[in-house]
Amino acid sequence: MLNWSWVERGIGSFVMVAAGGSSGRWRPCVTLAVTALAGLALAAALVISSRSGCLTLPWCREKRRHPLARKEWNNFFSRDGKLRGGGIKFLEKVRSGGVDPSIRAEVWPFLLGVYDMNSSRAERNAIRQQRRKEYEKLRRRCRRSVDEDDKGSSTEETESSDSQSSTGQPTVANPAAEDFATWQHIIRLDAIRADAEWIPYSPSQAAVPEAEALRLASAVGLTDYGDMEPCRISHAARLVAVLEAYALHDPEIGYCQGMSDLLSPILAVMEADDEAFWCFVGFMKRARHNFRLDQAGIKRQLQVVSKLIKLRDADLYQHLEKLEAEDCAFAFRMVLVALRRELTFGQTLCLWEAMWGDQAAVRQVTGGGERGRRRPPTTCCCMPLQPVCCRGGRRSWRGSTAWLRSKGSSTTSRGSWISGRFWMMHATWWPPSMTRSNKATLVSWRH
Amino acid sequence: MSSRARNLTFKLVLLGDGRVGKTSLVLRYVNNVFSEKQETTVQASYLTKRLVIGGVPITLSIWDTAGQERFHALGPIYYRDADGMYLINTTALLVYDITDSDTFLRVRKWVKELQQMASKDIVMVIAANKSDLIRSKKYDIQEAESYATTIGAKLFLTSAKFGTGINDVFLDIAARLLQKKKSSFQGLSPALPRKGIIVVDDEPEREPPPKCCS
Repeated sequence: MLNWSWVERGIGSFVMVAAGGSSGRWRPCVTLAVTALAGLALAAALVISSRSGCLTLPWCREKRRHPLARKEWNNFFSRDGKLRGGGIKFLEKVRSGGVDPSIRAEVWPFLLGVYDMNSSRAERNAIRQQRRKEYEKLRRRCRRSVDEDDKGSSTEETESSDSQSSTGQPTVANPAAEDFATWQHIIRLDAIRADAEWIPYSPSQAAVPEAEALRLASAVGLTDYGDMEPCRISHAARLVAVLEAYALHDPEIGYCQGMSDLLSPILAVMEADDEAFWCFVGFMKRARHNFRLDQAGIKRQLQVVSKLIKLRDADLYQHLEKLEAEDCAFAFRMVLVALRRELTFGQTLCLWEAMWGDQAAVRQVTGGGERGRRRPPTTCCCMPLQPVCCRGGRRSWRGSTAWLRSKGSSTTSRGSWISGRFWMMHATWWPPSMTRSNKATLVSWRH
Repeated sequence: MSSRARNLTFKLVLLGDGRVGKTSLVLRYVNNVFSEKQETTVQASYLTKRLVIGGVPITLSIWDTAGQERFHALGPIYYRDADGMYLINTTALLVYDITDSDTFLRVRKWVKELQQMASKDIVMVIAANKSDLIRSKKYDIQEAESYATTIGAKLFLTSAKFGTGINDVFLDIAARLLQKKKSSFQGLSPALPRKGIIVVDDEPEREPPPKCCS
């Protein structure tokens, strides 16, 4: 039953795009066309979807291409270590197929803007050295704060009890009250609870000796790890080190729960903390708005999600309206951790690579500035996302779609119908400088 | 209003510091599972549990929230009511880690906030979680118990790990809410819909849920 509706939807969307827009006047024609084409296309679509075990999504029909392989990657570089053609072809490749796991550690710093696309090998080495020093400086500052905390913990308690006893003053959660000590506390709580899905993907880090893991933990003052495996202890210690450094680097954001979800895969790929840190900084350039204290960023994102659904999937939007869920509050976590909790580890990396490649391509073409009116250099960046989301193994959509149940949606099949579409969340990660109408144009143009 | 048996839905929010076991409590109660490696809750998650008390079927709709204050700071969309009122029709289950006295301070802070922002007669219950660890560390529940009494809340000793005390907490909440609803029916107070109860039909998609006694 569900499959049929998917197929119809897929065809409907195809015809609508072919007809040149989604405006109301096309609807009767589209309906007719769907009916006429349905008989022919249905059989083929069913064969395809049963073969790959996936649903036909209304937004994208293209398949993921092969990931960027080591040989291709090497061939992209000229003799002085510059990416040929400003990396445009390289980005196009990443956007349509992701990156082979063996070269991720080399490729990611380019995708995340750590290295300029036009940089030479020598320039990159210099940047690496300089950035390493900067990171070490941040770490030294973190260590000093830890030491100060140990000494000054008694005075802090007095302060907090003072604020407790204040009369009549609402002790409403005040975001400004968060300081580095608060972040350090929450970072530690989250680090030891970080998920361990990365372990099979990173054998060298999984085999870390116990002594090394304990050394790392003591270096960041992490003690509450109980009887965790050494690899999880070292991962937790690295999370603490990098997240603390980030909180100092970007005190406006500091630390917010969910950021560890974004960092954990980066740590699993990047062996060196300083490189992981700068990749994370690159990722957070866009993501940081979602973690703002005033929630302005995430609210804007949810509005965009809502607009996109309205524009591209009227049926789904109607359903959400019926549930009074068109504000898309249920997608809060999906957007915040960029679908990390919804997808498996491998799927997440593939999605993120496509997303980063896409953002890097926009940066490369626009020079990173306000160039909202210009098109990105290549076509459909959402291509890899369909296979990512359709190959089964979705992890915990129910956690997010449960929000819809809270709004009264009781049909589980409807839940999966909805969840299957949220790969498009990626589209909301466009530069903040772009206006909403630009985004809408981009989306319709890209498909 | 429908002549069929009405389904009572009570809304419940879990609040408390990070890693005190809010999610573990709910998952133990709703799904009877426990994981030592429970991931951090981001913002909030939602679960429901149906139960019957004294022959009355009840649905608890449970909001499990993140520990970090930032998520509560502005417009807590996940536990806001349809009328935009903040925590009015909500029951609060305040959770702390019995082995960490700082987490109890956080409970006190929440109580103050709830008393100021929500209605005065909001139902509050405190869960002193991780009771399985009390042998390994010193603890003192006296202070917490007397504090609970002063704010009219009940305190329960729970262990999500061993599943002890969990049912008692939720049953007590449900029973108190049911009792409250019954007494409010008898009192015929005009402020009835504000008493933490929403009456909905069995099939939520059929029509928008009518407020009780309207």
